[in-house]
Amino acid sequence: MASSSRLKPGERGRIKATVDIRGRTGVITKTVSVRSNDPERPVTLLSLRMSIKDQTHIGRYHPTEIFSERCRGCHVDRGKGKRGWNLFRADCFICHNAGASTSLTQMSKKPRGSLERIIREGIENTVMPGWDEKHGGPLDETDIESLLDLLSR
Amino acid sequence: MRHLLLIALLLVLAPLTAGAAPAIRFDDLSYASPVISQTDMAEHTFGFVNSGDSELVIEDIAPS
Repeated sequence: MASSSRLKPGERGRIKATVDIRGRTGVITKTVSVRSNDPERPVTLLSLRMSIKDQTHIGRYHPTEIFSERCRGCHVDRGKGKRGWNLFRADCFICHNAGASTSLTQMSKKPRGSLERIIREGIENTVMPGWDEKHGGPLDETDIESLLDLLSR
Repeated sequence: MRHLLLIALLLVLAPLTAGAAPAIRFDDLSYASPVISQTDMAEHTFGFVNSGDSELVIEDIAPS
């Protein structure tokens, strides 16, 4: 939507872009092409990048929050009693899918030692929390071993 | 001969391109939102100016 479609030299205009993001999550990119009689630049592309969270997750940033009473139903409890691939699919796959986080394939290339450190301690300034009991996480030694066996095949 | 032709062609075209023209200049070409809730409508206003010396006409605005 433009403020006015005809502008005198020096005059300013505005183009308001509205994107319906209801029910959407993740990162959405939209472009708007603007055609004018500017002979040098007949078409200008404007882009909008929106990071969207649903109501449950908006404003929640600290990674260890997923271990809390409120979050563990989806983030932890599904993997309870599970090991290896079943544990990975239940608790890790929420992030480690085809999205922005490291995939199973990429992780498999890391040495076992660094994988262990990451699983236990997490990675600072990312959404990866430390999963061992010492860091407030739900995984015991057997759980961690089973994930390492899965990842460092 | 070929050079002469080129110069002649340029002389003919010159008056056509030297005239007054509009120029659209946007303040920003891209916008990145902070983390927003999915219950909202996302909105952003792009500002621009006609920095040329004749009337600027916005012919079409199309989302893609």
